[in-house]
Amino acid sequence: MTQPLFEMIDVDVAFHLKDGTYKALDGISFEIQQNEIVGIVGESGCGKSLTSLTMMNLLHRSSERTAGKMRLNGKVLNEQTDWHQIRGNEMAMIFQEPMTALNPLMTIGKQMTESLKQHTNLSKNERKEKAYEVMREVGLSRVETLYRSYPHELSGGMRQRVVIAMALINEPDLIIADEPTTALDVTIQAQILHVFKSVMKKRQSSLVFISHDLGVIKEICDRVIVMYAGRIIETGAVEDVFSHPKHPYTKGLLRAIPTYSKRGYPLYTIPGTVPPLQERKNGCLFVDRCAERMPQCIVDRPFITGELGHYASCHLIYEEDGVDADDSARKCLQNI
Amino acid sequence: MPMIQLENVCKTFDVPQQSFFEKKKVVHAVNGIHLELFEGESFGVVGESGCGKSTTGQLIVRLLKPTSGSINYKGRDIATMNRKEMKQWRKEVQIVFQDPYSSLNPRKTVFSIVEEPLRIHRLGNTEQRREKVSRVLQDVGIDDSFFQRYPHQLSGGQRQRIAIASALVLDPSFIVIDEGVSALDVSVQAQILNVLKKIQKQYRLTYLFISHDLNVIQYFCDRIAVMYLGEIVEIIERQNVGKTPVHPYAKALFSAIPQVDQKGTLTLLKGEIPSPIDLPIGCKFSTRCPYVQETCLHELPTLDQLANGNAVRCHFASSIQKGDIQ
Repeated sequence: MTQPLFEMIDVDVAFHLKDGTYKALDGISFEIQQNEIVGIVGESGCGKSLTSLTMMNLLHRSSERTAGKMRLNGKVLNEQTDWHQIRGNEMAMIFQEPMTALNPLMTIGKQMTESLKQHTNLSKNERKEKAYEVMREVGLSRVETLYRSYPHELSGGMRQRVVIAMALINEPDLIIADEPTTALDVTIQAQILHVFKSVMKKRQSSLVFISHDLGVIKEICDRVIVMYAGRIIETGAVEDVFSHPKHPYTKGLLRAIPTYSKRGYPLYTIPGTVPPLQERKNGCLFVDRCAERMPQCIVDRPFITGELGHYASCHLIYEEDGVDADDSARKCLQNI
Repeated sequence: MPMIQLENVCKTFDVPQQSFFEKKKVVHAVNGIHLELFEGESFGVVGESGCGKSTTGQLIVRLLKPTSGSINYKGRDIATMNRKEMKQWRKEVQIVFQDPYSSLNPRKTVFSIVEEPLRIHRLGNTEQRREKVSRVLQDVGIDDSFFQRYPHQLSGGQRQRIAIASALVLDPSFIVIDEGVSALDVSVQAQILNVLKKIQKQYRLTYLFISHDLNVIQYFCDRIAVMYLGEIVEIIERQNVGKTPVHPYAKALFSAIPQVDQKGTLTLLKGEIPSPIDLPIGCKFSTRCPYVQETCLHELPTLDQLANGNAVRCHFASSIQKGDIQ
């Protein structure tokens, strides 16, 4: 097997709160291959944004990576890593709000070329040319005028294109996009998703796409990671997860989406709420809301298991497939 | 007779002048809307930001006054109502807002938030009010133990239930739901949609459901109006909900919804919505329309009914529907 572009192995992130330290991410492991679009999906507070911040080592002081390893291109990423060399150069990030991601006092051109200035030896004119090129690539026109404009002169869709262009300019191997289309209208969202797809294909680079919108994930991603309460509960190829979800939470989510075909019927709802940070125990965290719970779910944490690239962490799967839990867990760990 | 009727309703907002000599500019938020809502239906209004859908909702509950045109409620023009009639009417018409975090007073308990409308309208004594509040809260799925809690102690879904309860407590017959489920997660959104459906039956409510989420609109609504730049471009009738609309903008909009269960053909639109200050002459959509013709640039099309029942604002609606224009 080829070496994955990015790996996260058994990462825990803890929040230091007034009343103690709590795990907000619990044993997160995944890998991202070259030229792959991976979606991370989940409801608010499930840890999807925290995962992306951990990847970029942008955690707030109140939180800390307490366990696990991360590797980029086989290189271990830790406290000693020169993150300035990595951010914007090998990995780049796109945030949700295109207005707050841009500095209102700097021209678009200056912001765009900032990372070229930091990471390359290109001359001013070369940087400008490069910026024009990337701006055209993401579908912006009149780039010479835009280069001299300020963010407030641009519409939401244009701003988001600029932010994408900024992330692309240094040709990073991996781009992390945190809810990049959530603040946009549907027709503009469709345009932006189109840009993402075509640019990623052309450049053969990888993208981590974080969204709460399952429809968007289906549209753009090859593989999807479903998160719940700080853990990965299911992962697999988009078609597999969406057409044959294994985890009861994923099943529930898909059934809860309103669509035309469900008209006239009440929507399926998942009872209860996500357990708060302070009340997360060792067993399955979905147990209180699960219709198919069994006695062992309360005490035993289910390992992530499955086959053909489609894994889920649920005790039901061992039962169904008749696999030995320990054996399958061992196999999974070997795979990782 | 329609329950609510909007006739040629316009609303403009003044743009603050940059200098004294500058020509006065106005934003055309809503531009000549005709609309009829019937008792017991859920009428959906959909469109992208800035298309005037929220303004329309606020005009109907008279949070805003129209610049021109009239709004009738059960045959009565609401602009000509006197104080007393207005107060009665306010009881019948309610609105639920998008953000349950800012629409509830953080310094009041759940009980006093829901009880407030009863107190304002001087209905019942303390005991009766308490009973009524408890019953309404139960209907939206909140039990009595929440009475003394404050909004910050509640989740987003619970807050939205409180907002619905306080609209419901006066036994209204019409509720505007302005992006009422947009800020919620999918699983919570499903709960709230179910509650809205349930109380609609129980209280015989008519809804004006404003949303930018077409999946929600298509699930929830009986008839749908698609708005673009302050105008209604298509009214989708009951029998056509779920089918591809006719107007080129509505078509592109519906094709752009990311679907979980199917894959459609996507029509990508060029460019973005023009500014509502300098509106295009002729058809408002002509700057982005893939079917644009010479006529569209000069003449504003009217909202005409087609054979399938939908009303469409497009010069070439029937030929587009037949597939004559590609």
